[in-house]
Amino acid sequence: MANAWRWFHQLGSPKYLFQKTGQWLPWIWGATLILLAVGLYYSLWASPIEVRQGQGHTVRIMYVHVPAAALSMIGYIAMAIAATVGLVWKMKMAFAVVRSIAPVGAAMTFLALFTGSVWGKPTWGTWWEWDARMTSELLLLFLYLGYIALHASFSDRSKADKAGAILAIVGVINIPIIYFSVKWWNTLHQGYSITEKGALNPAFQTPLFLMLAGIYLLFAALVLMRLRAEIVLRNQKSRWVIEWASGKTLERGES
Amino acid sequence: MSSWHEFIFMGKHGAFVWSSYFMTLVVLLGLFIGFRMMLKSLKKQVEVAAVAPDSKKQKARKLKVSQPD
Repeated sequence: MANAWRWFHQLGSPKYLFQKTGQWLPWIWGATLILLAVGLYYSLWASPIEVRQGQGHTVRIMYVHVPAAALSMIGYIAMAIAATVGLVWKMKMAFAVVRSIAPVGAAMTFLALFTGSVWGKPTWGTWWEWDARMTSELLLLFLYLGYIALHASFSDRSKADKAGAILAIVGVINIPIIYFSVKWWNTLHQGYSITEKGALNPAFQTPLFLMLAGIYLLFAALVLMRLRAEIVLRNQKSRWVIEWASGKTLERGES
Repeated sequence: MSSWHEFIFMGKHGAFVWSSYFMTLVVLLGLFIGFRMMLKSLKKQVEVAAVAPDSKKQKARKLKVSQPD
């Protein structure tokens, strides 16, 4: 426990975080590419078509739609947690994490909406419906974009971080609304597929779980890439950043 | 999947399936390239600032606190 706490503190150091993420990234990318290669093989080629509901090949859209939708929510929860850590422990790197998740989370939300819409047309006969699931997911996209815009509107970074963190924390109320919307309201969107037993035919589980794992790791890799850029952006004057950029060790007093 | 023909046309739904995967690829690849370029250009910026003589160094803009001499 004491070790975990010390590690948590070390992660608050920009230099340590930059070095560690640099070490992790090649491994994460390697695992991501393997999982996605196998996952795409199953989802586009080796998995059967859907017959019971007559969806045919459109069921393949699920293998990108479900991971994107899940990550759009998980990403926002992670943002809210990092924002809380930043506000409570005054940890600057936590704010850098919040800022780094935002663009990737927004991209996932957009993809969930886009693939959902493209899937909706052949399945339900409509591109869009203002039902609870879709409307709340659209709201999530606006929350992500709102955070990015709010953060950019301050010239003082610490104020931007605090204001953004508050928006991230307040906006998290939307997440249970998205998740439970299919239960609370009678939506056009179908109910739970993964968490409800028997809802998903085992033949569709292999490609779905492979793609979930692959896209989750891809999400992590992209967030870490953005985080590394954010760390450099925030520490341009630091000796270690200058040493990293110029590839040489500085003399004392020089910076 | 029984043939390449079926793979490309996905029954009658090729446009729907492929546009979903294509959009996912474009968006995620875009983020990858964007973040990579961001880190590279920051690195270059720091490097240029480090080698420039003090007199030519650009003064930091939007300073909120006074800097010690």
